[in-house]
Amino acid sequence: MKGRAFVLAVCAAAAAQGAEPVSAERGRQLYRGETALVARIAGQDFALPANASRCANCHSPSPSPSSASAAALADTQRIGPLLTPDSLTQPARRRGGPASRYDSAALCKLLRSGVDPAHIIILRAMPRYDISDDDCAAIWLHLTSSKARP
Amino acid sequence: MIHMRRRDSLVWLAALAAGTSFAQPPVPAHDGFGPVRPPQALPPLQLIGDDGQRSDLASRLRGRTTALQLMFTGCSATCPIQGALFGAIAPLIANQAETQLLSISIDPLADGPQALKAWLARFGGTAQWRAAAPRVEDVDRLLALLRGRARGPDRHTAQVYLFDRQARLAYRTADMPPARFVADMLRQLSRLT
Repeated sequence: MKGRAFVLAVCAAAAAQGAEPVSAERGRQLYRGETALVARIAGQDFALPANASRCANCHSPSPSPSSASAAALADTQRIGPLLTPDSLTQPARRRGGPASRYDSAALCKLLRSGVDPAHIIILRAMPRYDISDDDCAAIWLHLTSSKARP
Repeated sequence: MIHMRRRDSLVWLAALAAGTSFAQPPVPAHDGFGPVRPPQALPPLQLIGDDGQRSDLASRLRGRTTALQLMFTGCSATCPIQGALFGAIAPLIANQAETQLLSISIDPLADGPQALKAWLARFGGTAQWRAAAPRVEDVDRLLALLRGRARGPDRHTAQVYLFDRQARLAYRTADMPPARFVADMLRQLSRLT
């Protein structure tokens, strides 16, 4: 509920400023790297190019597998957790911490700082993103939409 | 942590210049990264480069200081970040003809010269940054030599391995080191060996 209110507030702010509308479609584009995200590896001194910072690289290497076997192969090559509405919003223990779940604010915090909802710092291989509230909300919408396929 | 490592690296480089470190018995690298004491010579290991040329790894490294990374072109997770890292280092060493970058694939079945060339092009490969693949039967040996094996689908670390002008492994960095750190280490290594 809190997450939905946050997303609605961001949508209203984006509309007021004439920014790119917050939508699951924009979230999908950001997730797959069709629209570039600015990111760097913690401790690194350069920004990653778009082909190295897209979420799909680690969370779903083959977003549109052509067959079940291609989907299975993609799953074996995935190094990040699969991001689904359930995996994000249902309480779960993450990296040894207490049970926690994401909302859109928690996702934004993780993307920017690398700190997850259980207050645990995620692996350094996950880039830290210089991302706006709008784009963050869009990715949350994409990932938690019932039609979403990461 | 990185700064501490950098200070340690400078101490090690000073010792290297004084010629004292290598008289000591071998000490394993700390935590998988840090100086390699004594520097480790390479066994014969054939490569096919992105230019299609066959060469021996040691002869490819000899005479220049080298930053080497493990990768494969079909890897979508850490390898693009490693490509970006070498892409960031390349301009920092552009005025140092005696240094080079080398990306070595651990998937020689898929990574022929064309695939390697295309991968380099994606990240801004230069004349100083080349890619190559070993023979299939040498992949395990290479991973063992560098201690580059890792769990997970990528199967290799994201470390950078620094070689001196005598083609000896002299330093293993932590995973995904800062670009400037690697460039500085290459510069100092080329002054000292």
